[in-house]
Amino acid sequence: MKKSIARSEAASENGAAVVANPRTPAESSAGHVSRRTFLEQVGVGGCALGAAILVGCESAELLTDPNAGLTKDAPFNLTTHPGLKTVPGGTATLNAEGLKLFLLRKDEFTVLAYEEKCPHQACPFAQLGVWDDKKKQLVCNCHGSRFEVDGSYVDGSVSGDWANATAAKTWKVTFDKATGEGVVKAG
Amino acid sequence: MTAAPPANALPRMSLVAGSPCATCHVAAQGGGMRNSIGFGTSQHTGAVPWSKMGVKSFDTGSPSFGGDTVTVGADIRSVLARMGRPKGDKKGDAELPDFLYVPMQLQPYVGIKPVEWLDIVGSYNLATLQRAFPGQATWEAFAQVHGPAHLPTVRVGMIQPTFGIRHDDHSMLIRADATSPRRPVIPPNYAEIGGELGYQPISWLRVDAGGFMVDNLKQTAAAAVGSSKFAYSARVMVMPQIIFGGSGEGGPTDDGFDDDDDDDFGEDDDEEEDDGGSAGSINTWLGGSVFGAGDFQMINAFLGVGASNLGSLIVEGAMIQKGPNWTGVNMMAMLSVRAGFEWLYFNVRGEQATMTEVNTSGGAVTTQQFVVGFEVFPFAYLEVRPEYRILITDEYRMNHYTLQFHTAF
Repeated sequence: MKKSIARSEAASENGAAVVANPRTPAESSAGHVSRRTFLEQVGVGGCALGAAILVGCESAELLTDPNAGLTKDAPFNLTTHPGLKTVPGGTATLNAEGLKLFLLRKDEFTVLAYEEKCPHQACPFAQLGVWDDKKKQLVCNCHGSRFEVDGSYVDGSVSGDWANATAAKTWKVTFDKATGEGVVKAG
Repeated sequence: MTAAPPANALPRMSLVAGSPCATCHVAAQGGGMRNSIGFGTSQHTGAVPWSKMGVKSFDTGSPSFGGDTVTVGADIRSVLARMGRPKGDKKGDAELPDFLYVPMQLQPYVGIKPVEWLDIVGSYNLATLQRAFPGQATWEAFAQVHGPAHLPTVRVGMIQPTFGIRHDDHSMLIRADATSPRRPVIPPNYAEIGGELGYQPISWLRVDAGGFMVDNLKQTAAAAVGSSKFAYSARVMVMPQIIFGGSGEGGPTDDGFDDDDDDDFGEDDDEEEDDGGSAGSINTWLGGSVFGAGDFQMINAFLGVGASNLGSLIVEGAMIQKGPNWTGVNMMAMLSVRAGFEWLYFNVRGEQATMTEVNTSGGAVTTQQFVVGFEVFPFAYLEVRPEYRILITDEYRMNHYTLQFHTAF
């Protein structure tokens, strides 16, 4: 208390306004802000400044090459990818050169290869892709996107704000029903 | 519990206040409709009281009619955020997706209490008419029987099984599938028809266990659930608490400064702010849970520490078995700190979700998210949550901000 009075007297000597009782809530006098008020103001001001800085820091980066392809053929067979034994509609994933491909058994003689992530919202075909044998289309059960055998997107299969689906990347596949062996061609 | 707990219905508030979720919510697990204490908390939290803006009735009204016989409430949430993936034609800098305003929850509640020991609650989330996650319930309804505190509580209806921590931020990865970040394994407002028993024989120990149908779980884990018709859940939680009293040294109103300190700002004015209680506490949770059906299983473990008027730290981990081919491990840590005012909290969160396709050479798919932001309660019943997020998947990174709005009463 004595120290506080001494500061008040000093302020008075300087002609500054003096708070008669330093313990009153009136804190606006020069040089007499309580610790709590100061910390609160710093807290709010700091938060506001931080927010302003962060608002200007939006950015995005693709970590993989969207145009990446295979530099060499990628083999598979029904022993290493038993999911393809189901006709039609069997599925499997094939990892080659850092790419993840979604293999789909279209019929007895044909295996299709798509990029593994649906181009709509990157939902995984491995978990959500199914074959519609009636329409001969790949369906992504995430939001309903449909793709033809050549990967082209079926217009209107997804509606709404996120309807920005594009074609799914595909690769040529050769498949021998007799041996159960196939190759995804480079490209 | 002494005065109304600070701020709104969030798991961390249970830790900060030292009150179980059921203190503010009708459902014993927390979330959903608020009781009169929860409503009162929401009513008295805000930087600017409504009465100062000439709407006194907002400060004094009650959501109940006929005593406590009929109670109404609502949760209205929306978010302004960049939805979708970055676009680009080569590796490197990419274009951010556009901002989208998304109503997430428009859910009125009605509760009826025909007798003291029985609550009947119903609600419908109108926002799901426009957009819903697979497996997200559009409605919830239950009857809850609760006798004296030493007896179990029974809840039957369309309810969320009790497992892990029921967070209110639906963008969290703890219940997500790393291969599909915007399509969680357990979606927000997940619910199934079933029944659950909750028992809290002593203040620091709670056990919940139940059985449920699997209709909504099959929307996200059909292959794993298989032909199974029923799901099970069980959670055990211990909540030890250290209570300390007084407003002197070491008490919760002591801001850590010695009043005799000679500093540049004069003495503390302890009359300036009343922290609303003379005792404080360190509150903790430690728990584990399991939820499963068929070949689907989710095991959670969590730890929480909170201190009155200071903040909380929550850590949670989840292991997900999604059939024989997919295994996920998700982790989250969240720190919330009171930023000088009851109506302003600073949050920082780090989380990671991984999902591995077993028996392939592909390895795990990983998604990480870091969030920094605030919870601001400008007025009673309203929470605004500006946040800065860094989302990193195997394919892209997005640094962007979001703004959530939540009206609750």
